Amino acid sequence: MTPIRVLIVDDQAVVRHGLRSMLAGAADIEIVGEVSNSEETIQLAVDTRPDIVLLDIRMPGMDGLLLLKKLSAELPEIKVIILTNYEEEQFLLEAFREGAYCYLLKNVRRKTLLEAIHATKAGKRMLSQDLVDSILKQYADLSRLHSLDEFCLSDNEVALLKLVAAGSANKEIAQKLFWGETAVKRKLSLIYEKLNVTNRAQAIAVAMRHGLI
Amino acid sequence: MQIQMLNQFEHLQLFRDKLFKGQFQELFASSMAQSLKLDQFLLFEIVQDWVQVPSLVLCASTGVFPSEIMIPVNNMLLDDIDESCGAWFIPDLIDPPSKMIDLSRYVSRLGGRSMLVNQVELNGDVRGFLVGYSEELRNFCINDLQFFSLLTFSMNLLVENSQLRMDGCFRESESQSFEMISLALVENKNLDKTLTLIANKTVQLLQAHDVLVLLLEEGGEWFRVQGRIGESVTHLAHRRLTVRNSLNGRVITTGQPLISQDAQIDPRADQKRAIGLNARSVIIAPLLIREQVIGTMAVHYHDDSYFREQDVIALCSFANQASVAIDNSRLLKALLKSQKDIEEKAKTLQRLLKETINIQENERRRIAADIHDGVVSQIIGALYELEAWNQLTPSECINDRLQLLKQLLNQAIENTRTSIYNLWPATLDHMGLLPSLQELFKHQEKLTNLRHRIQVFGEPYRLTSAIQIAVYRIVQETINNVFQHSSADKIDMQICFSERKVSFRVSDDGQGFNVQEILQSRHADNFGLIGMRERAQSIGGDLYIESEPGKGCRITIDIPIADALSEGLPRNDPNTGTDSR
Repeated sequence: MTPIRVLIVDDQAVVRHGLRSMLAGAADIEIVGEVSNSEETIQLAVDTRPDIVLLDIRMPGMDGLLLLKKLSAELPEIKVIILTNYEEEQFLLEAFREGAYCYLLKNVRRKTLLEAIHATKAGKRMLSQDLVDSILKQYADLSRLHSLDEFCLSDNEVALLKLVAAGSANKEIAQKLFWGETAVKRKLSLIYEKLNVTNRAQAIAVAMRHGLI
Repeated sequence: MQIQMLNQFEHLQLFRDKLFKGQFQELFASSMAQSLKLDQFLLFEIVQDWVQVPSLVLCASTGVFPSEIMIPVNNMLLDDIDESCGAWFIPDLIDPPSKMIDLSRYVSRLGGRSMLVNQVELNGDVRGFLVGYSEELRNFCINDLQFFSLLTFSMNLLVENSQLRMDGCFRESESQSFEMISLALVENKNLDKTLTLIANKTVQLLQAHDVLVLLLEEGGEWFRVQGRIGESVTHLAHRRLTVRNSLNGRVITTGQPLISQDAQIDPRADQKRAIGLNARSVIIAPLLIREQVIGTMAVHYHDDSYFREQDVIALCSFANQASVAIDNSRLLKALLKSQKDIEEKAKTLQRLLKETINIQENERRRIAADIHDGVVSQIIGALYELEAWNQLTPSECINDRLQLLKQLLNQAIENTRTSIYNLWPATLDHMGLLPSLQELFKHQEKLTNLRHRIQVFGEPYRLTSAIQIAVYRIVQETINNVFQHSSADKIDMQICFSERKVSFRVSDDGQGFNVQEILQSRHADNFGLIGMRERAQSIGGDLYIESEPGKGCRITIDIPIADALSEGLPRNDPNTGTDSR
């Protein structure tokens, strides 16, 4: 079986050395080179034809995401794993947009790194476990926002719906929100209209189904 | 009878009035005057400036004018003048009474033998004498005396009328002048125009030849010619005149107006200058702003002229108007300047604030990068080595791996320390300024081979914490600049503790720069220098930058001791800047 050819791109020698150590025992992985700056990376990639590039985002000069874009454009057959200290979602999303296969935080375990390399070789995508949670949460937020947009509900109306879902009667709601009872009724009928329903139970069901409450 | 007037004495008070001449002539052509059968009538005016001795000046004569027209008189003539009234009769001028001796000799020199004298009065003051003489020895009868007294009385009326007319004219023209000047002042025209107007009016009213407005320069050694009117002073435009040994200088010292009958021979005057300016009689008034003498206003006459008190008062009024104009213009200028200064300052502060924020952000970025590249990388590296502890390469043993781990962790600690040191030098808190500066230079030398030397002069004393920090940061910034821009090999620091101030001077042997160019350029780097200066000023000190291309750079921070001393600590704390805990 031909080993997986890996190129290491990181400006810190200690990190490159550590990665070499980690990958040293894996028989099916061959480190074809390492490089400390973005400028030399493309040339080295052309020369060594790696399957996978381990790439840091923070690099002097051209940063890793820009390098990723260039690699994807010029050498699309090479798959990139981002290995970084940045857990910001924006970097993650950008990295996937630019064609990265994996996005791993640097404190990655050896086992996970090897898994990621194999998964990438097989054309699968992977995330650090820590990042999965935040991505999912962001997805939930996104879908909720999307629904809010779709139904044109205001924050006030969502708050009102939550109270309704919690089983409060109109009178209680009026007391809690310092409104009159008629105001509550009027607002509720407006919400029914927006959600295209006719009663309390339907409204709660639609709101829950769309993650509004 | 031919009446002669002395033309070059146009300035004599009595003869400013043209009407007077005609009336004078008529009086002596009258039959009453004729009946006295005298050969000549002479009219003398008493002239008396504030300093010099009184004289009689011949101002009208029925005969030929003699070359000598001025008679210095002894005070006796004037002393008991008030007591005597009526005419004097001097039958023989060869043997006159002693108080009449000067006048008698004069008339005698003209060919007189006997004379009648009476005083000419104005508003009760004796202003002159009327003399009638005969070339023959005469015995005047009582009728003659009475006629002569009558003639004198008429003369008095003429003089009084004339005076009233002239006063009226003077006042009218004075008030017109002042009205125009006031208008000009209110309109706040430019200073030169207003001063020219004032000078013009002064010359007209006082019938002077030239006028000068002189402003005292800083230091009090020189006058600057601020305004001038008249042919003899045109060449003085924007010139300077010395204050010392001049009449104007005297007015500056006394703050009082001054008259000189003849500046060309007046010992108080700069006589050469007076001759150069063709000035003989002069009146000088001080220019006063809030009781401060700021200059003088002088009127010059090209001849020997005589003044009344009201001339001096008028000149003083003009001088006051000029002072107001000058004051207004100065205040306006100062106001505009301070307004501009404030705007400049606000702009600079805004730029500095922006720059300070930039510097802060850059500093944070640098620290973040430091931590990322240093500590975090080393710990990640160590983590990887640890993660792969059982993946030893054939050439490696477990001890090598442990050694490597230890090395990485030590590096991480060292990097952390550097980051912390960059954030805040702990030596400042614990050791004080001097050890911290030494540490700073050593640190730089270690990193960049920039050699250094620190010298301390004077007996060090402890400085306030605000000053320690400010000086530390300024020196730190200086070292950064030197390293980044100057390609210097060596940097010297001299610290000088003296009675009045403490100075810190950092000099390098680098390539230097043009200070003005750097400070004026909008380039980001110059904010470093301006920021350093602002920082020095914020602790009551100041910062000086000296540099020239090719000659290195020297930056000096001076802090006055009143601001510099740490409160409650003795001046001569032997543990300079060392915490006395």
